[in-house]
Amino acid sequence: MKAPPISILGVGRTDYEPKPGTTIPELVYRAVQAALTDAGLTMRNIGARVTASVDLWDGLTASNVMITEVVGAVMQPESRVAGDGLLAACHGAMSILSGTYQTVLIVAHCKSTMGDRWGITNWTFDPIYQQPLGLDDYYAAALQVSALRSSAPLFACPPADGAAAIILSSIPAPITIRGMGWALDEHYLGDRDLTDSPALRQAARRAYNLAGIIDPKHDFTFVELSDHFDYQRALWASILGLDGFPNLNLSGGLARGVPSFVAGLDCLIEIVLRLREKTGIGLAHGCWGPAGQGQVVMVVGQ
Amino acid sequence: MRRVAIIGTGQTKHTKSHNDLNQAELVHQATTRALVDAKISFRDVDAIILSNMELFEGRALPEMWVGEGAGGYLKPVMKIATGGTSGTSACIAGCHQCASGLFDIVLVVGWEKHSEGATQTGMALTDPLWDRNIASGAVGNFALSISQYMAERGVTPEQAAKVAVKARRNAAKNPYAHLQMPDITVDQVLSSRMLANPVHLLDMCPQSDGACALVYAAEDRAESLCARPAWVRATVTRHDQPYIGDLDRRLLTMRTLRDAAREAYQQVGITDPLRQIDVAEIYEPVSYAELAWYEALGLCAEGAAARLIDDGSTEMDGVLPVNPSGGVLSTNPVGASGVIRVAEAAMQVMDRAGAHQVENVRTALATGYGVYAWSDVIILSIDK
Amino acid sequence: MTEQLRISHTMNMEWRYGTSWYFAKFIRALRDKRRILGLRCPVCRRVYLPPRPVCGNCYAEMREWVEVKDTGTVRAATVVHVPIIDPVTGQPRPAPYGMALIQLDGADTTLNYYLAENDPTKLRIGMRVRAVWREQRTGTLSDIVYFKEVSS
Repeated sequence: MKAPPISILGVGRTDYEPKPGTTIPELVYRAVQAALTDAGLTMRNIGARVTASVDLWDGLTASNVMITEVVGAVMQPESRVAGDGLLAACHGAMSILSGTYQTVLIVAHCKSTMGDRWGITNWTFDPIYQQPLGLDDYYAAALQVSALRSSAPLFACPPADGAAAIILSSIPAPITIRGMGWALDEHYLGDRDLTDSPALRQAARRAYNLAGIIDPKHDFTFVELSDHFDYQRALWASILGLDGFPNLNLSGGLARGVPSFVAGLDCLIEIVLRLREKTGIGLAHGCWGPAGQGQVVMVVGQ
Repeated sequence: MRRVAIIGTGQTKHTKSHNDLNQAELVHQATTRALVDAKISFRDVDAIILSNMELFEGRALPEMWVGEGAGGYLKPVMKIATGGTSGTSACIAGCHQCASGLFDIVLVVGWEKHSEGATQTGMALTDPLWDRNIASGAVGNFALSISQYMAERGVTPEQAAKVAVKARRNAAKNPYAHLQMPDITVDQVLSSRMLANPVHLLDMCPQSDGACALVYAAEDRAESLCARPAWVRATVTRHDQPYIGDLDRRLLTMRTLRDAAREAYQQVGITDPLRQIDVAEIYEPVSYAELAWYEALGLCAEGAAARLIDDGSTEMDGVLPVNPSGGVLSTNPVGASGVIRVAEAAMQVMDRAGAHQVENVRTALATGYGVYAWSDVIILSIDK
Repeated sequence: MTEQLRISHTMNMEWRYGTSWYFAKFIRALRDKRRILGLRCPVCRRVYLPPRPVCGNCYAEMREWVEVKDTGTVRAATVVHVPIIDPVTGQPRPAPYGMALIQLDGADTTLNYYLAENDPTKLRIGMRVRAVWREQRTGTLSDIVYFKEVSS
């Protein structure tokens, strides 16, 4: 990717067990501290922050207001992406490439156990045709499974609470971002070919081009995909050219319980941790919206 | 670092209730107008940033439904939401994405359709463990801050009313503005309904339905596509603590705006903002705020803000016209309001502001305001 | 003439918020002992209400609890005339009502809360007030009915 290469200086996260008694600021603080410690930095080294969270999931208007203090954003720059944390990482990387900041903290948080995690998604559907049908992400997944003519049961990852953080920088370090891409698919489920994901294809095409990936199955060492539903792992893998890839979701995937919007960033953290043990190239993936309407892919290397 | 410029802008007419367009169509209209103004097609757009406070319409992940309206199909679309500063945050994000080298053309669209939601309910979702049960909306919060400001600076309701009058009279020359009142007077403002002492109805911004879009282009593309682009010279963001009670004399101190402006001026080499800036689009949610923020922006000495409105320095024919578009006081679709500030500032630099064009604009200032005291400052210029 | 079609959606959402150690302690002290507790920053020494894990100005963890009084000084005041929806009842609040930013004795932040007085001519920045408490307490700020002026 273009110079300067963007390094991942540190990563940190909380555990993802349900934590009904814990506030979001406390979760975010723990993840931020873990990332700063991992990177050997203090908050003074951080130039800007990009956070990821969604008001309706947090039950608060402009919900990033409650984490301003714990991410060190008082009298400092912060921006918030309402979407997956991996998307926030892409944005943070671009703000460094723009020359505006040197070191950027990325944090994603969600407490999926706080509210009605499926009911909330009914409000992502257009209010005219789809919302009145009572659709939500669970139904959208069921439709996709049916389109795939899969006989596998529909298994959704369990609800989870937590936060994850990474620190990006133009300061040189072993693990760098090689490529990234994201894209939005059509909204109306009836317009989409649910056996495919053109958005993921497009996101991957961009990321692979920037990273110089020609033969995914052989170029990658580790791959972590956001399988919010069990069937998605094979579907995303196939679209990414990774059928039969051996080191796929060594973490266990989202089935082990990873919060929404944290998932993609957590995939990136898993990749980073593995690349620290073994040199190679890794792929992290995130998606959000009905049947993965939004897709994001990041390629990193050691 | 790649230079980035705004090469086109577009807006819908902002109204109380856009019964003719749904949210995706609102975005589509603003987008189409911006693309035409930029002389490009939607195919030329490399990335899209959307800005919207979806909780006010009771929505989640609005880019899912509305993204197509901006031509987002299979494009890299990202949604930014930071309260009132969403629009300016999105504009700053769009600028960074364009400057990153990854994208040559970036579209930013902000929108809000308050008539389709329950904004008050959205605003009432503050911290349930602390101040949710007292939450009195934007007007309550501002009335508190204004009481401190008045006590400390001695500004009068008449002086604040002059700001409200300036805004709505300017808006009368802006075909897109929501509240257009060419004949409004100070007396009318002062006799309008009292919302919360001392804030009258006409001191306060409206809630509007509307969308605004702008197009960024990187260096070479900007120069080849546009004869007079508005170059981005500075983008600065500052956030502050979460509770209104944390912020000492919020309106007056407004440390985030002070510091953001100081930093932006330093980056551009501005030492005398009143004279060196040719036009300003300030995000002013209430009349008194504009006065307080003349000081925070260094346009006058501490305590001298009232003089600026009294002697007409910030009128259309003054030394630094403030809010020729009519400002947030005249038009306020929250997700779009910040984008409108930047778009209007760009229109001034590009000499495309029509009836509310200020003469000989070289440098324009745009600010964003949100939550309790978050600030964005953006400086645009005819010079790279 | 075009007819406008309306589709109505009603959102019914419930969220369960956590308190962590700091709000839990605050709530218990308020409910059980009628004490208002803030946290002091070890660096700038400011006492914050509400309590929170980190002082945003110093980025320092706060662990020192400080009790603040239920008397204080009004730093900002207004009377709200418009019918604002009360998030607790879901109904518009009876208006006009007075409210203020009150700096409780011992705290460095102010508290946005109701005043007993709703005549704007009787409100003054700098006036001294005391909390009027409810009989039964639950551990939230609603345990205070309002703040009433006291002569110092």
